[in-house]
Amino acid sequence: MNDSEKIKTRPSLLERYAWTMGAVWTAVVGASLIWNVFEVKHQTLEAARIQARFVYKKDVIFRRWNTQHAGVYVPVTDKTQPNPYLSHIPERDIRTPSGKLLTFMNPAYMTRQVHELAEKEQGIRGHITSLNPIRPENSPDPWETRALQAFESGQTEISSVEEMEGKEYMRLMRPLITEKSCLGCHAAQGYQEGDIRGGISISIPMDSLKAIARIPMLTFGLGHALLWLIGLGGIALATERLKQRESARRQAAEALEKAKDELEIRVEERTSELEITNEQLREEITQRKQVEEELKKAHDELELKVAERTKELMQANLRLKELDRLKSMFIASMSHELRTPLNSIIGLTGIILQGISGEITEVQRKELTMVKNSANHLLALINDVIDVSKIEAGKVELVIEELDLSELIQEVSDSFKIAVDEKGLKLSLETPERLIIKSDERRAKQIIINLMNNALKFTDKGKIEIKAAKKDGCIEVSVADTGIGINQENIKMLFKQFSRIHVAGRTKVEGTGLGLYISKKIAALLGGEIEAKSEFGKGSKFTFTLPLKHKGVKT
Amino acid sequence: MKKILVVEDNENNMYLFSRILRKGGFEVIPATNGEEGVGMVTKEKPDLILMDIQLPDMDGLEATKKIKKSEAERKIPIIALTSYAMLGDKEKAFAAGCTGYIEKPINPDTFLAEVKKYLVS
Repeated sequence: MNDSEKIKTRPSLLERYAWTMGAVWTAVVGASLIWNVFEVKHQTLEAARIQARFVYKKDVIFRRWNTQHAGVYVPVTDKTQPNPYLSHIPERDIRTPSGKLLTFMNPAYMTRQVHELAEKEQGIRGHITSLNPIRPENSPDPWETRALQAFESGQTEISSVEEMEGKEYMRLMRPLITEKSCLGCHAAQGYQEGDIRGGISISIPMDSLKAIARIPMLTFGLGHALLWLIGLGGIALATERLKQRESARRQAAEALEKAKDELEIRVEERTSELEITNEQLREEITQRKQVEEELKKAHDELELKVAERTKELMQANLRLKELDRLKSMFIASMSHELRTPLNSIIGLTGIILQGISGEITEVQRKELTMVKNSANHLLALINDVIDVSKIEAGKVELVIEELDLSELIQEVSDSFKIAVDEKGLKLSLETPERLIIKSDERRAKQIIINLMNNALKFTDKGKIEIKAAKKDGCIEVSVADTGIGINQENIKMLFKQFSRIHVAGRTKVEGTGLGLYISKKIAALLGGEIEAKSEFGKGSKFTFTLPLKHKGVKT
Repeated sequence: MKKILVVEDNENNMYLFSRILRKGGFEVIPATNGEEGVGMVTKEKPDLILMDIQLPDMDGLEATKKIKKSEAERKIPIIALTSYAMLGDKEKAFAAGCTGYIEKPINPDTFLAEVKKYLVS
């Protein structure tokens, strides 16, 4: 509502343009109409002139015709009376043989009569005149006088629209030039050929011509009016359209402005919201940073502590390593120091028993043998304890090299031959000719010796069987005996430290209680396994495996 | 009579080795440490040396190396007396130039035979 008011109260640029356009259009159409009307009028006048000229020329031709005949004779009627101005002509009036009266008619008289006829029938007035007329009626009117005077100054035609007796006429006047044929009559007057001795004025009534012109005038008027209206209509329509468009654009612009304002308000609102959020975020970030800094501080402190602890631990580790080295050294020294007296004990007992130091009694022999056995037991204990301490400290150093296991078994078997024979047992071997593996010879031998020791200890009759063969990509070695065997519940205990199984009705046998424990550990170190099968009272079978090529510790 | 130099710091063991070797028909030259042993080699020119590895001052390995440096004494076989517990003693002994080794404690029943084995070769 406000918008339309605004448009009304304040004429828009468009409206001004429209008015201007309308004015221009009106001017153009008006100019066109004026020009066309003028043109029609001009043509009408021209048509009138042409008609007048035509009439004039006809008159001239009639006159010439008459002149050529040097005048003609016509019958005398009421209208055609003998011309008083031709009374000087000798045979002005003549009679035909039948008595009919004829009178002489010169060009001027004839022209006059033709003019009368023309006026009577067509309304066209003709007037032959001269500044020096023979006949007074032929005197010129003031317009003709001016025209005749103009001819004398060289003009050949005068024409204009004049009002006569309340009617409009196209008046046209041309001079009459003296021709040769004229001189026959006028020579007496002193005329010469080429002289201008008057003229004929023709007056064409404009009514009929105007009536003719009215149609194109009307057509032009109506056409222009129509054109003007169409143009104005077009302008009005275009203006209206543009106005509507302008109004729509204005409305759209205003709507846009409004939307923009709303949007700005919203943006402002959102901005303030965001600012609040931003402030909150900033606070959060600040808090986070504080927390981070605290964390970093804590982390740094922790790292410092870790570094300190690491340092302490490294120092402790160094101390431990030193302790470990000292322990190893201690074990090595102990081993040596213990062996040295043992060497004397075993050696000297041995030589006494050999009789090197003289004859000994049976009792002495028996007792010295007990010393020797105890010393050997002690040696075995020392060796095993050192082995266990090394194994548990992970300090067993393996020497891996190629070895023939068959040969190794043969060696062990040989070393046991005397003892086996003493107990009256049979010892059989079942090994391939060669059984090459890569392993630690001494440790492999240690296992076999341990198993053989056990078999010998617990077998009183029957046999001991050692077998070795390739099986499933590794070597399987077994030591089977026909000894006392082991209870199922005791088998689990077999491979534990100091787990000597007490067998009822049997004196406590020698042993460190570490042999099978060490064997199991060594077998694992060599990448193999060890297991026991037994039937109480019938015998035992210990089997261990070794890889063909030692690859590492099997866990 | 073949001469055997025994380098051994323990009195009892020295007695034991001497007793067995003399009974076996050898002349025994004792030395109680490495330095003395090296000196005795030059002085006595023994046919075989029994060398304890763990000795006070100059140990058996060092003594062996010194002996092996001498052109004249290089060919004398040296038998290392090693401890079973010390892994690598055997290897170290061979590396130093020992011909063979006998583990301590010795087996009195086989000791003499083992020594003779090295003399023959």
